[in-house]
Amino acid sequence: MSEIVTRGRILTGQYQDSVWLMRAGEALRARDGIDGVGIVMGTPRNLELLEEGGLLFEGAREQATPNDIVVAVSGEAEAVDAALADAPEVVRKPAGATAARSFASLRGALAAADGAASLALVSVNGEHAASEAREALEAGLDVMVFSDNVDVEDEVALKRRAAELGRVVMGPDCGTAILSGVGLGFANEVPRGAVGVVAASGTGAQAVSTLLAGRGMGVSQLIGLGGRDLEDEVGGATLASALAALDADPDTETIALVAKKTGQRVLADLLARVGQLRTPLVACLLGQGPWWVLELAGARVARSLDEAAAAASGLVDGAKAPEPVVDTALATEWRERLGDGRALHGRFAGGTLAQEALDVAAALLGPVRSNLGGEDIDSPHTLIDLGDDEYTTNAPHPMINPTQQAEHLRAALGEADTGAVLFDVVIGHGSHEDPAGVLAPAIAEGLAEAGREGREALVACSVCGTDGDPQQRASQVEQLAAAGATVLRTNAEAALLAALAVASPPAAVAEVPELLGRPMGTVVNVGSSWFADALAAQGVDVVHVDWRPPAQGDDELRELLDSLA
Amino acid sequence: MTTTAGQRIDQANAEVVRRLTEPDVRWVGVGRAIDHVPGMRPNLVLHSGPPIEWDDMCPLQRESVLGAVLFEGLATTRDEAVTLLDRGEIELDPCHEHSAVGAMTGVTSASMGMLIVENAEFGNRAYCKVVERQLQFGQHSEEIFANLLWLAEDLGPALDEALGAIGGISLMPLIAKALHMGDECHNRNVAATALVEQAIAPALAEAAGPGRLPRMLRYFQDIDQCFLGLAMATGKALTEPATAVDGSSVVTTMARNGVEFGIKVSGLGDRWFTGPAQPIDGAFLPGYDDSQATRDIGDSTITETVGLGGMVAANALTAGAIGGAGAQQVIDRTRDNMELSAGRSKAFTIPVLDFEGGGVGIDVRQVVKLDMPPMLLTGIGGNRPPFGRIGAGQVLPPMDPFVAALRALGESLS
Repeated sequence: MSEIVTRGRILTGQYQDSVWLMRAGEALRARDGIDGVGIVMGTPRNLELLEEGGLLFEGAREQATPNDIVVAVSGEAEAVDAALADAPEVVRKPAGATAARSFASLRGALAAADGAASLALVSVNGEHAASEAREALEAGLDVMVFSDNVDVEDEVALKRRAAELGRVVMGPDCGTAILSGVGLGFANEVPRGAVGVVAASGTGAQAVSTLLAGRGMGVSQLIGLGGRDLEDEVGGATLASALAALDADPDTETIALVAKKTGQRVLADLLARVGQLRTPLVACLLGQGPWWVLELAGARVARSLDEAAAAASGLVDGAKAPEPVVDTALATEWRERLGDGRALHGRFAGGTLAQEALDVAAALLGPVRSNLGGEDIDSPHTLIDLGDDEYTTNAPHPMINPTQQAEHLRAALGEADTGAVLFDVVIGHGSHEDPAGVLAPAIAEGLAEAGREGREALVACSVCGTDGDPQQRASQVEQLAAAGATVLRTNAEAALLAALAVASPPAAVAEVPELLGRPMGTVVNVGSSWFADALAAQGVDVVHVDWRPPAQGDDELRELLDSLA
Repeated sequence: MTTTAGQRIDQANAEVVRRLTEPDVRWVGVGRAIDHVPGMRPNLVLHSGPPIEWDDMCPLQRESVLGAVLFEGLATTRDEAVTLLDRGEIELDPCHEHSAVGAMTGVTSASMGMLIVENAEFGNRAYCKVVERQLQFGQHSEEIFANLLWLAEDLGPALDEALGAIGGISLMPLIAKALHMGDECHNRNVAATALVEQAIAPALAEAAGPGRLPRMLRYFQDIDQCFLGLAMATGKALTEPATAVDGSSVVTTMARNGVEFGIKVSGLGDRWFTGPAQPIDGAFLPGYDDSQATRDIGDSTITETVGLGGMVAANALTAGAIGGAGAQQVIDRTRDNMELSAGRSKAFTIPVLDFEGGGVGIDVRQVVKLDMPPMLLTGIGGNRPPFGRIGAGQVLPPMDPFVAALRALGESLS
């Protein structure tokens, strides 16, 4: 057996975007004898993340610059060396190279488009994204900035300039949009229809759009805002444009807004705007927050993504079926099977879906340990957004490759106190070609292993997508169910089932008490005669106890009395 | 929720209540203390309340004791009597230690006439000095002594003979009847006195003969409270077998000597628990006020101990008025006393409360929990010459003995 090593090489003066590099890394990791692969641009931050992942090979920090591609591989020595040898090729020509026309610069691409360019989709390194976006704006394009790690000052300046020019910047950190029926970034195949979606959340937008499709509704437009647009510093700049655009859009009959947090000023601003919109608005704002106030301005505030889809459907059409109802009988059954002291472990690909699930779980289980702002919480229950930076530097984003998610699920099933495992599957353009194909075997093996140890666990999940997506939702659902997972229609339902399955048991069903069945007899009033008087005034027969503290409030005597009672 | 200790107490209490309510007590005779009272001796003077030294006695009780010493001829002058007592040559014991009880100062000596009652179930006897309303209030004189002698040597034997002839008088049914006639048998005994006189008169007439009968009947007339002696003796006869029921929290004795108020609790046997005797809140005869009043004194609270007196105060609303209380207050007080009780009487019922049984068996747990000792009505004696009865009123016992007894009970059960 060959020795396990970590080695690497530096491809100097080369640049590829992070998604590109992730796919390259995936290609290498799939090889036999390879444990871990990290292919990143040599920025200090990326090197730190390599180090955290145990992949920072000797000399990397000293030699790598942000303009170099750093390739780090761990595994059996022979396999590692072979991978490193192939790295330049793989990085240059990973599987599925683009079919599009290719240029060295934006200017060149714009010139070739010859005035027909309307939108730029920017996914370069965050440091450079703002200037590329700015150039596109100045050239008269709207811009979608997929990149994250853009300075907030740059974002503010960009959006101010966009407003001046009558243009829209979607992003930074905007992963999803659908404009004029075209999916941008990670997006699902959904019919065109009357609901306009505006979202500061990628998977949130995907979930609402696919749930609308599930209700026979369609999406007119889906505008992404970027993860930070609704914070006070950015002030909802893109939100303002997006709402104006959708309000004026003749095809949009209802607007659905999806977000995870808002600044105070942004919320107040939004409330004012809601009052001025002609188009009815449904707001789904996950996480904790005082968004109910929007209802006072006439918006419908939904507490789950599915409720948003239902509400929007209702506003368009009156028809809302199916209603979101969780089968609590199933949850109770699981709770009985699992017994006391079992833990819930959620592992998510989509950040918004993770947040929604966390909202539900925390409501029933108390604070849950999570990288969505609860790392210090002391709880047996955990919920991880695997799409967070921490997990995606030397591993691909789980939507692109669910391998890490699968490993997490298997590990969770291997723990003795696990009662419920909860996760999401996000399909559509940009996602892995067959997530269930990766996840289902891990689930099946995990459950089998647990079974051999005499343990049971609930595996609950939902699939965010449509049958029109390349992966086909129905097929994904089938594979997961066959592996032993319980697939729920929506993420919130899956979270509810999983949480209830491990929550404190409900009290035994009470026999119908006599309380309401017998007429009001004499009321014995103990304490303030004020109440006795009020009862007497109503003609009620009341007997009053002129109470005094036992033993005049003497604690020692009272304890003695209690022991002799 | 009942603890195991609590269950044990409740069970013991149930037995004590049974012993206090079910047996009949019969008036079986009258005789001299020296001839009947257990442990009586020529130089022994009994007094009311818990044990107390001569030096510590209140003036009223001291005066009565002096009177008794003189009555017995143990001394011929007051000073002599004082000297004997100072030197400890006269023995002093609580009546209670000799199966006896005494009203007010309770002073009882060898030659005095005693009412004799008998517990029909357990067979034990109890004694109470024939009520004379003079020496018991600290008054003594040759005339008073002559009366005491007449009680012991004339009335006493005549009553004894009459009782012998009729086989004694059953007292519990008589008391029950009196309770429906305006008596509570502690402060108000007029109906009971009339009933017992009624019961004994024919036989007494036989025993006394036409020459002596009028003065004897006048006794009942002059001292219409005289049934108190029988009521108290009844209480003593019922409580003695109820003492020392293991684990019971029921009070079996309440007694005062003008200085201390003392109780005994069944589960704690013969131990006294005491606290300071309280001043009486009452109405005074003209010319008197509470500065001249002796504090709470007498064994008559043996009546409350067996469910009479304050426990059925609502049957004697006029007696309650003595304390300045209105009818509703008296009824409320009666209800309060029920809340202190471990059980209820079946024989002693209260018409105005829809014939509910009166409370029987004061539970120290309840007293402490509710911070509410039983409210009592009592006569008031003077604290200086000429002593005597100066008024009547209501009094609340101190909490200390009840708290101390509860603690002791807690310890004994743990």
